[in-house]
Amino acid sequence: MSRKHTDPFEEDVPLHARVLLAEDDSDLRRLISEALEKDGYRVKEVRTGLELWSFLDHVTVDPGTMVDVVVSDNIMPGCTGIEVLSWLRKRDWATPVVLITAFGDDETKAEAGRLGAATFIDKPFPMEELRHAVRAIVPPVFNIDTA
Amino acid sequence: MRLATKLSLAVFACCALGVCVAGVLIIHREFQYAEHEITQHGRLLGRVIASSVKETWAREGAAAVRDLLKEIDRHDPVIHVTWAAIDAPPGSEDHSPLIVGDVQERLRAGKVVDHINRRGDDTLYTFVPIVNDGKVARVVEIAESLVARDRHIRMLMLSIVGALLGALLVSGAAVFVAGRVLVGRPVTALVAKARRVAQWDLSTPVEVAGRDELHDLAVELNVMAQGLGRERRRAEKEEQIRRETEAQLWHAERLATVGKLASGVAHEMGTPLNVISESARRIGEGDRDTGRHVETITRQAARITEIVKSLLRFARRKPVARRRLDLRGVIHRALPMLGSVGGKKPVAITERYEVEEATVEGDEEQLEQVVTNLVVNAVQAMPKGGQVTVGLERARRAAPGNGAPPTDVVCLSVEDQGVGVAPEAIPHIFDPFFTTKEVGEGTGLGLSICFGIVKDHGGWIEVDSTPGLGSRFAVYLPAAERAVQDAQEREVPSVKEAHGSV
Repeated sequence: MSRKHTDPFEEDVPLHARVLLAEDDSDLRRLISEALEKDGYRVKEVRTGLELWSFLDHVTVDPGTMVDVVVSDNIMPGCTGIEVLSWLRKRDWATPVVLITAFGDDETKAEAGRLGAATFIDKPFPMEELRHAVRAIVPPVFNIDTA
Repeated sequence: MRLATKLSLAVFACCALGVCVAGVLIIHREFQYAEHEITQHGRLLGRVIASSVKETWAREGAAAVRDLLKEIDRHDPVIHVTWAAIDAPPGSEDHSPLIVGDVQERLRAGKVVDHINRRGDDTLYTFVPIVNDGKVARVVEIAESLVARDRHIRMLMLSIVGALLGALLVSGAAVFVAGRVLVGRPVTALVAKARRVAQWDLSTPVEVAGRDELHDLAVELNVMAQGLGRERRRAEKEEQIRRETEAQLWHAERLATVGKLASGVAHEMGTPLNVISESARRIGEGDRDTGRHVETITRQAARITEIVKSLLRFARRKPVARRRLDLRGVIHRALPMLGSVGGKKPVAITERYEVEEATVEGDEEQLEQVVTNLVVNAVQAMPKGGQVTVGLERARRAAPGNGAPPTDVVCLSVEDQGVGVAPEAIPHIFDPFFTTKEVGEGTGLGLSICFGIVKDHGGWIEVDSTPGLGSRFAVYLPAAERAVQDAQEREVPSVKEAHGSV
């Protein structure tokens, strides 16, 4: 098994926490990605719910693709963030998920809470809030000594 | 002619006929009776005179008889008595011109003979034979004028006719009045009541006195009016309840729509606002890549503008301005505007009409928007291009869901060879802001707007889609009435190629 060829984060040794970012708007995706990478995270971007699902499904085949945090918009073409979250929980995968939801969409938030989303962030949000939320789940750089 | 008049005339005619028959019978009988009386009288007189003549002749001779007869004539100017011999030759003193033939034979047999001469002098002649020794010796001839008797009969007839005519007039008037009172008036009242019922005035009951059929009819009419009144009140109450329920449902639906809309707006606007604020923040922090940020901000601001425009189109939907229009015209006006939708993709739009015309009652502008939205969706559903078919046909279908009976509808269909819609997404495709398109391709309001417009037109939309093969959106609108008949007469399919490619 060669991680070199399969690891989408292109990292031989996982020194940095890995964030899987799903957002259909390319501008917002880029901005979030830049902000998190600046903080020291390795970010893998996907554009739709289906890509997100497909990527996570791949993890079962290759544990090397494991991600530390999923940051996902809820409403995307293909399937919603909630649907992916639900699918994850059915597989007993406890990967923390930061769900970006619309302001006032209490139904989705309740559902996300029930499925154990780590955090949900209302759109529009200050980038600081997202960075804090991710950092609260996992620090950007692992301490190699302890690992 | 009025019923009362008809009845009066019928009764009057019967009376008149009866009176005429009675009059004729009475007059005939009177006439016969008078003739019988006068004949009897003549015979009696004849016998008496004959007896006297016979006695005088035997005792005093023929001269005395002549004197006796002259004496009798003098006493009664109405009668003239002579005597004659049966076989006396004409020209002799004892000859009578009337004693000939049958009269002569019967006198010879010893019978009394009556003879009424109507042609000459209206006189009754009575011949009484005087028999001596078994042989008719002479005949007493009594001539009695009938002028007085005839005058009497004429007077009698006149008075009878007068009395009968009087009776007829009185009975006619009585029948007319009775007809008006017993038939005319109640029937007029019943007619007036029926007219009031026809105009839904159920208040005043009709009253017809008596216990006859017209009274029964009036009672039944009143019962019917009461029943109608009850039914009407019940229907009005039900209608009111229905309207209230509908209003509540509409309100609930409206609230649900507003909720969905608000949530959709929050999500749709959230992303560009996020991008704009983050890009602005970075510019503010002195990020060197200002040009790219400005470009991003401009792009996202344009996206917000598009969302707001769609929202306004969605919210400001005008009431349907109905008029008869042919959907072919609507399609012809809409399609040329869609020339650039496909961009550089090879897209062909084909019109396929199964009918010569498709008339509906609708708002031209709104229906044009439906066509536009559906065709734009179809083109956008085909990333590599393909064929869009706009079709028109007639059908007899029931609106789904409400259990209504099938009606004549016009079906406008837009079919594409695009990516299709996943089965689980189909229930949501008419929700505001639901979209499966890539960001920037659509706001998710187009089908919502179509749905609203078609619903306002009393129609519905059916979706048939196979992922990977394409979708067919069928808009069903109630057909305008005349058009339905025409369709049965000429249902000739016609296929037209309208646009090569756009």
